[in-house]
This record gives sequence, C-alpha cells and structure tokens, in this order.
Amino acid sequence: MDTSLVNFAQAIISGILLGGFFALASVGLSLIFGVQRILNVAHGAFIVLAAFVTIQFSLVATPSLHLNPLASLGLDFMLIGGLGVCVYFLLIRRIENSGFEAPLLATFGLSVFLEYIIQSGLGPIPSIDPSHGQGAQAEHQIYSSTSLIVGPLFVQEPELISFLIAIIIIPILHLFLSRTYYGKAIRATAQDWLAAEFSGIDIRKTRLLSFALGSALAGVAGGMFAFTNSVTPLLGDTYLLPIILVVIILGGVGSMIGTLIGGFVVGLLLSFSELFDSSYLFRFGFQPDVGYLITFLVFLIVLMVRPNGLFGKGVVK
Amino acid sequence: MTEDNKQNHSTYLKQFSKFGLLSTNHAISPTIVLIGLLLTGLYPLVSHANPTSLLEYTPYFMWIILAESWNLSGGYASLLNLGLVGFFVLGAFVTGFEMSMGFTLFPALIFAGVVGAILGFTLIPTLRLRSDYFAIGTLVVPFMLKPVVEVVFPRSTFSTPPSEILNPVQLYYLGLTLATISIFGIYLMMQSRIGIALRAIGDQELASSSLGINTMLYKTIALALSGFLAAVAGGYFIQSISINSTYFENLQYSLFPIFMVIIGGIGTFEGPIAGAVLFSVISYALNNSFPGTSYDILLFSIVIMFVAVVLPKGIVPSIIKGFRKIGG
Repeated sequence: MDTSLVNFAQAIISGILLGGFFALASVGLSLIFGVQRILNVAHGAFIVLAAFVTIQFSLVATPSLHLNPLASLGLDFMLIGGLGVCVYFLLIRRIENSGFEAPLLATFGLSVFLEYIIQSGLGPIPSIDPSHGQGAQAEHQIYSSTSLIVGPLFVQEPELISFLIAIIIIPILHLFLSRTYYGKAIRATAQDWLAAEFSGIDIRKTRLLSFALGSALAGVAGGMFAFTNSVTPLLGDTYLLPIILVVIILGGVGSMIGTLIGGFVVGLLLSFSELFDSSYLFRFGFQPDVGYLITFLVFLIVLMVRPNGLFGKGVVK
Repeated sequence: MTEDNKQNHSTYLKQFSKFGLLSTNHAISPTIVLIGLLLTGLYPLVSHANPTSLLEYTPYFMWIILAESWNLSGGYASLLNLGLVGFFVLGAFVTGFEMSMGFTLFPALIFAGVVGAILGFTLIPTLRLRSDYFAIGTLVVPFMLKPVVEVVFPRSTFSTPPSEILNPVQLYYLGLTLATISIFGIYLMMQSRIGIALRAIGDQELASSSLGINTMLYKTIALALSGFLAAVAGGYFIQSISINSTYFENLQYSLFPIFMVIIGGIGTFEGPIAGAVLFSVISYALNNSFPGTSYDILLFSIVIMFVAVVLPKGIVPSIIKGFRKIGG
C-alpha cells in the first residue's frame, strides 16, 4: 500500500482511539460543570491521582496477588468517587451558591494539595509518585508489547481498551440521565435548581450524586491514562485540563454524546496535525506543538460561531 | 428629601457597597495607600540591610500589578479572565526579546504592554459569551500562545541581556514605580466616566446597556488595559529571572492574583493591594517557617481552600463589615 495512505489510515485510527480517552476524561467534568456550574480545576489532578494509584497497584498488587492491573480501574472508580464525596461535603457544599470564583479557588487549592501529596506524600501516607519527576507508566506485562497488528496498521491494546470503555460508559451514562429518576433529577437541577427544588427533588443529594459520579469517572479515565502515557504529577494541569475543557465546550456542556463526539474531534485534530507536523514542518527545522495550536484555534472558532457547542444549548446570554 | 427617599438612598448605597467608591466617597484608603507607598520608597534609604536583600521584595510589586490588572477586568467589569498568565509571560518574552535586540528598558516595557493590550483586543469575540464560558475560553488562551511563541521566538529561555541587568536597588524602585502607576492610574480611571461605566456594567450589564452605555466598548477597554498591565508585570518579572515557554502552563500566575483580589475584596480599590500584601506576608511566613522543606506549598493550598470556603467574600470586606457593625 501507498505509504501516505497508510499514514492517513493510521492517523484516523489513533485519533479515534485517543478521542475515546479524551471523552472518557471529560465526561465527568461535563457532568459536574453542567449540573453545578462549578469549574472543577482539580479534575486533572483527580485523573493523575487515579493514574498513580493504578501505577502503584501494578507495582505492588499485581506481582504479589497475581491480579490483572486492569482490576485497579474498579479501585480507582471507588477511591476517586469517595474523594469526590469528601470534597463535596468539605468544600463544595458550603459555597456552591456563592458565585463562580469561590468554588474555582477552592478546587484550585485542592489541585495544588493533591499534586503535593502525589509528589511528596503526607505524614504516614508515602509518596505515590514512583517516577521522581521522570514520568511513570503502569507495569502491564500483558499488554506492553502486544500491539494488535492488522496489515500495515497497528493498534496499542490499552488505547483500544480505553476507547471501548468510553464508548460503553458514555451511552450508558446518557441512558441513565435520560431514562432514570435520578438522571432526570440531575438534568432538572442543571436546568433550574430552584424549580427543581420546588418540584420536590432533593437537590443536595442530586448534586452530591453528580459530583461523586463525575469524580469517579475521572478515576476510571486516570486508570486508563496510566496504561497509555508516561505520567508526571503535574500533567493534570499542563496537559489534561485544557484539553478536557476544549472537549467539553466543543461537545456542549452537559451533553454526554456531545462529549464523546467532541473527544473524537479533538483526538482526530491532534493526530492529523501530528501527521502534518512530521511530514512538513520538520523540514523547516522547528517542531512546535502545532497540534495544540490548531486544536485550540478550532476551539475558539467554534466558541465564537456556535457557542453552545455541537450539542449544547443556552450558553449565550 | 423625604423619609422614603432617604431610605431608598441608604438601601441603594448598601446594595452597591460591593464597590467601595460609591459608598465611601472620601479618600481615606487612597491616602493610606499613598503613605504606605512613600514609606516603602524610604525603606531602602533608612535600612542598613544588605541591598541584595531588597530582591526579596520584587515579587511583591509584581503581585500587586497583577492583582490590580485582574481586579480591573475581573473585579470592576466582571470579566473573569483566567488566562492572565498568558498576558504575563507574553509580556516577559517581548521585553526580553526587545532588550536583547538593543532596546532600553522603558521602550521595551511599553512595547510589551502594547502587545498585551493587542492580545486583549483579540479576545473581543469571546466577550459575548456568558461569564463562565468566557472564563473557560480565556483559560485556554495561554496554552494556545505557547506554540505560537515557540514558532515566533525559536529559543529555549528568555532573559534580559547581562549588560542590562539592574542592581537590586534599581529593581526595587522600578517595581515601586510600576506598582504606584498601576494603583493610581486605575484609581483615577475609576473616577472618570470610563470607571463609572465599568462599575455599572459589572453590576448590571443589561440595565447599563439599556441606559445607553456601550458595554462592548468599555469591556474591551477593561480587557486591553488589564492585558497591558499584566504584560508590564511580566516585563518587570523578567528583569530578575530567566524564563521559558513552559511558564505558559503555570496556572498559578493566573489564579494567585484572583486569590489575592478575592481575599482583599473583589471590585474595590483596597482589595488588590491588601490582598497582594496579605498573600506575600502569608507566603513569606510559610516559606520561612519550614526552611528546606516544601510543607509551605501544602499549607498554602490549605489556606486557599480555607479562605475560599469560610470567607468567600474576602477577608478585608469581612473586617470592614465587622467595624461597621461595631460603629453602628
């Protein structure tokens, strides 16, 4: 086959797989931001925390208990979900009605706090960063070298798994929000919390549910992040958070399917600009992250032309 | 004035007391700040400390300028700019670049400020978004600037050329001058028609546009001036340190000024100054109580969370409120 055609097909495949991961990482924050209007800037730190939990699991529990490292995803889900519950009761519950800035600051403090704990440990809690700033990856002997090779194309197995998890979880979440009582309560609270309270919905419980669920989903995404990337403690702020915000706005806040599609758009943009980068720009002797520039430009253009995102509504005043 | 009117007037003042100038039309706070700045100017003359110890104060001036800059857009005009680090680091880069091209300090600083203001103008299309979406849009801006800067200035670190490095005393007075200009420049501007329009927009945008205020124009002015100041702060910052493009990813330079403005009192004259001073005192105390460890970061994050949860309206406004209660 023609090399450029192979490259093109490879870019499509890796873009879609990457997009699945981005959607998985963003869907939790989309839920939280959609329901409570709280911009949880600690979302990236939640993901990185879960990633380091999975890395530690693969270093400690996998050899001694012979557990599949993927089993740590359940642990991540529960741990970060529990963290979400604690954060909701300690921080968010008191300030969720006092505007946009106070929760922003509180979650910013939280992200600094979590990054410190990941990096340095705290009292009896040892540091969970085995990388010493170099970047660590989950030990996954089962998956490490087994990329699936189909003709001239190859697919990394952990990326495929995170893609599959995303396209399974997100439609389920969509069904949960549109069909069940609690899902409908979450959507009602997102639209107008006062009216929802008048109709007999316990909005405290609903907000707790959405915050905990959103955090737990960040946990799952973090578990998969540990398999596909080399993780450093600050990656949540410098890499994940901006991309997550782009995905959320592109897809439309509060729309789960929109987030999935937004993830694919960002993944494809990044993988295609990488292709463009490697085939054209390297010749001129510099190698900037053109992918991010293009992605953020598309984001700003979409924000201006269609501020509601692809599937959202009611953003422009 | 009838009794009814009087009551209306006092409830009006109470309602708008968020904006210090409308309720306190006297000049106590500006006088105190002016005296404080004069004393700060005298300090190097009377202290016998080693002049290099003056270097410790350079970040304080930088934080004051950044907090003033954020308060102008975020406090008065209610434009929550979360991308301040973009303006700041861009200003630093431009200043460093200009000075290495042979420009002297002041033209380079002004040029950096103009570039920051232009960056503010490019954000005009996002102004019609709802405030939280505006915030998200601006948060992404620094991440966009990083690759642009890497293309335009293809080198790894930026600093001022060795021949142009200021001595600690000059650096101290440069910072003091810039901080004074930004504090009183904004103070005088807020007394003018622009300032009144900005406060009206920050309070009730719909009502002020229905009264014939061109909201887009004034918001653009606020954003551009805020960008100018932040870029100048960056130009000042690069006088003492060399930086690289990863600074764009440092959320702290965007969020610490917001923290200062909020603890000091958002949308007030005193707010950013008090907040920046308080911030510097807290971080200095934490830094010095745990030498050699990094517990200060941990404690500082706890302080941020505590202030955000317990005093979401700020420390200084709460104190003032307490005094007003005592004074009747």
